[in-house]
This record gives sequence, C-alpha cells and structure tokens, in this order.
Amino acid sequence: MRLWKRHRVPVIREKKGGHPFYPHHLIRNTMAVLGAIAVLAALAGLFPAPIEQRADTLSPLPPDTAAVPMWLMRPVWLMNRVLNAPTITLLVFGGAFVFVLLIPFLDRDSEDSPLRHLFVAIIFLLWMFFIFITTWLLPVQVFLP
Amino acid sequence: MAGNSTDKELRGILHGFLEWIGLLGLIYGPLDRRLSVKEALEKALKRPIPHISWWGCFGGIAFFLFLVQIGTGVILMFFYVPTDPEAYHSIHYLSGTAPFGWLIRSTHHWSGNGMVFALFVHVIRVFVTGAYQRPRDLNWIVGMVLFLLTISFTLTGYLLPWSQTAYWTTVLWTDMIGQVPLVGPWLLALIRGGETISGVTLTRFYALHVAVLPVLTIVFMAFHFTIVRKLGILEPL
Repeated sequence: MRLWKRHRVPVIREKKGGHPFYPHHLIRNTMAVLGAIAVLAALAGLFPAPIEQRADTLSPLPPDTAAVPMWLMRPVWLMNRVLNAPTITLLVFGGAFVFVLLIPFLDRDSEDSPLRHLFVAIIFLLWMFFIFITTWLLPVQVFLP
Repeated sequence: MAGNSTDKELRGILHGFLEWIGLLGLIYGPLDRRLSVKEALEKALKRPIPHISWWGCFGGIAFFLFLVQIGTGVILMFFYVPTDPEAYHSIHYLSGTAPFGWLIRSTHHWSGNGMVFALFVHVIRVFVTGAYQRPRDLNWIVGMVLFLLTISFTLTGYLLPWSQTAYWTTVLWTDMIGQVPLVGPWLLALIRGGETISGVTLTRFYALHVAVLPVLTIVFMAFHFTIVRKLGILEPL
C-alpha cells in the first residue's frame, strides 16, 4: 500500500498457494460441470422453452399483457412504458452502463473509506431495484394504465 | 547389396513403427519429442491453484454455459430456417417432431438465461471484492465488453423463433436505437435492413447470432482469461 502511494505502482495482490490443479481442482470442476448439466437437463425437462404465438407483423401494437418481454428486457420495457420516452430510457440505461464501465477509474483508492461504503451501498440498492423490477413486474403491471 | 539396403530400410521403418506404438499412442510419442507436450501438460496440471469459494466460480460457470450454448446452438442450426414464414414452423417442427429437439432447444433456452444470470453474479462479486482496481482495470473493461456481447446474443437470439412477444420487443428496442442522435436512423436501417422488422432483419440477426458474436466473444474471452492467468486471482480483503 505504501509502495503504491509513494511510487504510484500498482500493487498486485494475488492469492498464492493452494493445491495443484490435478487432481484436486479437476475433481471439483468435474463435479460442478456434472451438477450444471443435471440442473440444465432438469430445467429443460420440467419447464421446456415455450412456443409462443407467431408474430403478426401486420397487426397494431398488441396490449401489454400479450407482449411482456423476457426478464432481462423488462426494466427497459417497463421504464419506456411508464415514461413513454425512448430517448430518456436509452440515456438512463446507456448512462448506467458507462458508469459501470468507468468504475475502476472512479474508484482508484485502494484504502477503505466511508465514501466507498456509501458508493457500494448506492450500487447495491440500484441492483436490488433492478431485481425487484424484473421479478415483481407482473403485480406492478396491474397498476399501469 | 541392393537387397541389404532395403532390409535396413525396412528394419528402420519397423523400428520407427514400434517406437511410435511403444511411446504411448500412435501420434503422441513423436509429437511429444518435438513439442514437449508432456512437460507442458505436467506443468499445467501441477500448477498450484488457490482455493476459491463458490462465489468466485460464477465466471467459470458462465464460461461453461457458453460452451453448452455452442454445443446446443450448432445442433439447432441444422433445423432452423432463418426466413420469415419458415422460422416459426422450423421451431415448431424442432420442438414437436424432431427427436430430442425439445430437449436441445430447452437446454439452449435455460443455458442462455443461466449465462446472463451467472454473469450478473460474477460482475457483482468482482465489484464487491474490489477486484476491478489497478492493475485489473483493463480486465474489467474487457469483461464489460463480454457482458455487452452476451446481451447482444440475447437480443438477437430472442427474435429468432419469430414469436409475437419477441417481435414487439425487438420493435421497441430498435426504435430506441433509432432515437440516438446523428447516427440513430442510420443504425436503425442497418439493424432492421429496411423500414420495418421483416425477414431481412431475421436473417441479419441470425448471422450476428451464429457467426459474428461467437467469434468476437471467443476473442475477448481469450483476452479476459489471459489477463486472469497473468495477474492471478485477487487475495480477499
């Protein structure tokens, strides 16, 4: 830390030691891979990918209940639905991405500080908001015009 | 004299052949002598790797799911027709008639969702542990590019079954891109391949989804993993 402050040399904090890859980590990795395949197969068997209604390109915009997109796109969809301003929605989500991209340059101090705690708390709350929107959208949708 | 030299040659060939078999495998032995595969393999296998908690595994899980996506995606490519009237029918055929088609398609569906989810967890973990700081800041940028590529995979792949929801969602986000100042209308025309979303858009999305994005992702992944290998895993605070 002192070295970094004096010479502005990045300190490489690297986790050292541990077991050799073979066989310790290989066994763990194989277990994880087999587990993941089992989970995928179970999900695919129990909840197969839905076959939805075919796109009708000639019809007008369908009502919202007929076109709620997949979970990943719901925050953008909902914001656009509420504000009805694509430019603002694009700016907010584009801005959020640029902010996340620039995090290493905004937070260069490697020491702990109250400001950093606030920063992390804000980011965490934003994440929670995102998860709330994506998972609880359907009840919220009832209140939409 | 002539017979003797042929004998020697034959014996030489036989000796070489036996040597080949003797040194474990027909190809491995001579290859190892030239490229020292065994040494490299031993070095890689014996390399000590620190113990990582399950929180640290989500990047690896995302990578594994990407491999699953490649495997299932290639099988799906044999059945899918990327044109307007046939796309929906080919998905129908795949899910109903083709043997185990539903399994492959559903695995592709869940693995894709899982990959995005694993990436979210991975980004949160890197953020919370502060692993984005120098000298790993470049890797954060590369990771964000990979994240953007994954989102592009989702956006392009979502339209491919040509369903009502996917169609209107695509209308929404392409409309949004059209709002970008200066380059918006040009980008919109480039993505849609015309005024509206049509079979042309579908073909474009298909090309992006199966050819352009995978290559870019593999290149950036190689870069991402090389940096991880060079700098090691962050010591917990």
